[in-house]
Amino acid sequence: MIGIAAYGAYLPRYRLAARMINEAWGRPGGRGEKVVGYFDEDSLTMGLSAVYHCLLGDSIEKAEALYFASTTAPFKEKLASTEMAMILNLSPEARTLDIGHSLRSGTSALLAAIETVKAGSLDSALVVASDCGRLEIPGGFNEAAWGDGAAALAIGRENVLLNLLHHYCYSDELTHFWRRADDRYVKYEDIRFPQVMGYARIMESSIGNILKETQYKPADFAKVVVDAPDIRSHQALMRKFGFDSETQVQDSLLGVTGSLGTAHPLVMLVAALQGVKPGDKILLASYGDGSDVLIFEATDALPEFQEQDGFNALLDRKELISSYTKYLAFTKTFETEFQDYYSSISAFFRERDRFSRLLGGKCRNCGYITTLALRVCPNCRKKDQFENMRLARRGVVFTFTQEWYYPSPEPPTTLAVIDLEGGGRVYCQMTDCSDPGIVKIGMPVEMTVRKYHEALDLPHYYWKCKPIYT
Amino acid sequence: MSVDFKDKIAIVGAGCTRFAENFDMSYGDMLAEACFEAFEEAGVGPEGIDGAWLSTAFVDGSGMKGRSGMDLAEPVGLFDIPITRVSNFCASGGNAFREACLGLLSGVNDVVLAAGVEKQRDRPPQKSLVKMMVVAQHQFLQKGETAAGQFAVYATRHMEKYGTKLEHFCMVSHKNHKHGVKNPIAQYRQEIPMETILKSSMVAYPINLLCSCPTTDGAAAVVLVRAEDAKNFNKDYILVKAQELIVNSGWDLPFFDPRYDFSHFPSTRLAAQRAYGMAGIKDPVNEIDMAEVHDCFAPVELIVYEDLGFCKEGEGKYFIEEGRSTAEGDLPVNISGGLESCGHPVGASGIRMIFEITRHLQGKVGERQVKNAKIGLAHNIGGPCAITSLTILGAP
Repeated sequence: MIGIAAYGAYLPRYRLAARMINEAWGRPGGRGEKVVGYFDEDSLTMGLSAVYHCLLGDSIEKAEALYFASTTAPFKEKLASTEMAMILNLSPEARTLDIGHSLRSGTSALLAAIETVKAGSLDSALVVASDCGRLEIPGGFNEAAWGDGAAALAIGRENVLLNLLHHYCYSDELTHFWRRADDRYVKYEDIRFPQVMGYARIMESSIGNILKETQYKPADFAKVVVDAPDIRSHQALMRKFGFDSETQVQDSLLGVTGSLGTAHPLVMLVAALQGVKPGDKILLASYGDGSDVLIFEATDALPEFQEQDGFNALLDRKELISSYTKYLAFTKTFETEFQDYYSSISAFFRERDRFSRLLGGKCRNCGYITTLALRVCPNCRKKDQFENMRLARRGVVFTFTQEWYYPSPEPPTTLAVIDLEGGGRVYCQMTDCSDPGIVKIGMPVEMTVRKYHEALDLPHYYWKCKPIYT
Repeated sequence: MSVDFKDKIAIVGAGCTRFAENFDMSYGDMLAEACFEAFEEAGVGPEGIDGAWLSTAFVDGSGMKGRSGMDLAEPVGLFDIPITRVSNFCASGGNAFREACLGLLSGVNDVVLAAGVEKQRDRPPQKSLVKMMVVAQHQFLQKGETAAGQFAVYATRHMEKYGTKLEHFCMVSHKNHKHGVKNPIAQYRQEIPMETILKSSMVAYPINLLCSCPTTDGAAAVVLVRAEDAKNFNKDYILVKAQELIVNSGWDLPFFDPRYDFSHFPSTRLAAQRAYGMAGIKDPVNEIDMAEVHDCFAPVELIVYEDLGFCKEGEGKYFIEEGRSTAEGDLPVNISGGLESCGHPVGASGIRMIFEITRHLQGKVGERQVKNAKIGLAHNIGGPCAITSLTILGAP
């Protein structure tokens, strides 16, 4: 059996209410909200967070491939997947591949990974779909419609939760949304034309064709997970096939999260898996320059699987951005940070065990654990005795300060000395903490990779701690 | 074998520029002013100096001035002798002073100069120290932190562990600004009401703006000889009782080392223990008449009361509450106004403290004179608290 063996989604903490956008532009009303990545998040960091929600430490490192799907990858030249594989401490022999350019690329990456495992080339793979910063021009019609999110799926032969039964791929050139290579904002021309001749026509074909091919009837599916550009189009399509909105149709989430780009169908899949029973069939369909449709069957192992962070918790643990101005700062519409930080790509390279992979060094002689790139143990003063060890990604605040003079879209910047569970001490920024008043000595925190700055015009990813919200 | 400094070295000349935004003076101008004041008192000229040490913590904006001993030679006219630039963060001045003493103790030199200078205000404050911390250091480590933050993590821990309050830190600042009113070389000469200090904006919690020293220019210098030669230069000489320099960690290590408690400064504790041993001090609070201690940020002074043994661990708050470190108290601390009033031209501060104590021990300070001052202590801590310099001076 080959299919999905673990899953996890990630939604940034912050939400922008549609009402707040309208207020900013002097328009009445506004319903729903969208997920907005914090100012230090991008598609790469969010993808990593999804991986950590999907798998635990040991099993991450065993992945033989990492496929990264995004239309907002941090690089045009340089693989995000390779940088993520390095941070996740995958083997250098792990295959890495970035896939993008379409909101369909998440399901395309999923299918490619499953087929590679099926072909016998690999035993396991990680598929990560993530989009952050698919932006409408400020004031535009779709400003409330597009959010940030990520999902990660582990593909393998063992402990499979969702067995892929069938798939159908449909490619159809129709200009709906697009960005040229250097465009900051997503473009579109007509509204109705792509809804009718794009989404409705293409999805009716792709879903219709797979039903015809497999002889399934709409009622055969326990869950129908179909991406859509807007809520109305989604509802119309579901009605067209007669999927029951009460029992079968997975909510589009569009009013709650906004469209999460290439991650959206996979995030919807994670949301749909709550309550799925062994033997249930699931139809998953993406939309973008055509459509991928996949049909899965849940195995006996599915109910046993524990997500690292349940999807409802991700939805619930949110915080509304306090002003539209702050949203513009978070999305880098104007600059609030220094641009001329010092960096060295050679130092970055030689220190990546400690600072990118968060591996500690344990002294063979005295047991002292360092989190710095040292050769001589500060405790027993023996040279070259440090052995790499994986550090826990949880700890407690030992002491802290809050800096008002460090340039940030949301000052103050909290810096905290953290004692990690099982040993090792780190000192780093705290993120996802808009209320400085909650920071206390003894407070539990979780470690997460975030972007610190772009010295040398290169995104610099390093660890921050964040409060554990309940 | 350890070399005992006690009573072997004498300060025969001391000089100090005004500490301010010295827009009208260059790096070299300030050195010339401070050194020639010291030369005049010692009755020597630059040609009479046979070894010199220059303390500058950070090179200037051009990246060149303050790099080497040459930067003392050119403005002061010191040629054909060994000159070494010393850089050890906030302890640079004390370190240069120490090297000068060692030059005399070794017998290599007979008349030496220790000079400290920092030219910070050729750049806006945001582009000097703040920029160095925020922009220029390692791409990840301590990123987000300013100099205030490096000390603030100690203050936070001290508050948690001993119940010290923000008010106690503000009392330190209040006292030092009150002292600074009477110091003619201080940058700020204005008493600031407690209320104003308490309400000043946060820099790095729990350190607020008025508990922080400003960005300042200045220079200070001393001429030293061996004690037996002192009378030939200046009958009002002052003796060195002890000098200690301790480096106990690194730039990043303290923050990443699980052994650190952040409620005290181990480098200061060790330096005090050794310096008191050398000077024969057993009961510091009663035997020391005045102390100039590092108050770059007010919590540091409060914690240092404990580390220097002026009071018990955790009782710094009572020491300040009871007014024991004020001009009228039993151990006046930072009678100069400290770094908070004088400002902190980093390489100059340590020698400025030695200048201040020298003048008090000579009895030449006028209305703000610490009465019957016989023993004075100068303390600097720097480089995230890993480096302490401690000098004890005494009247002969």
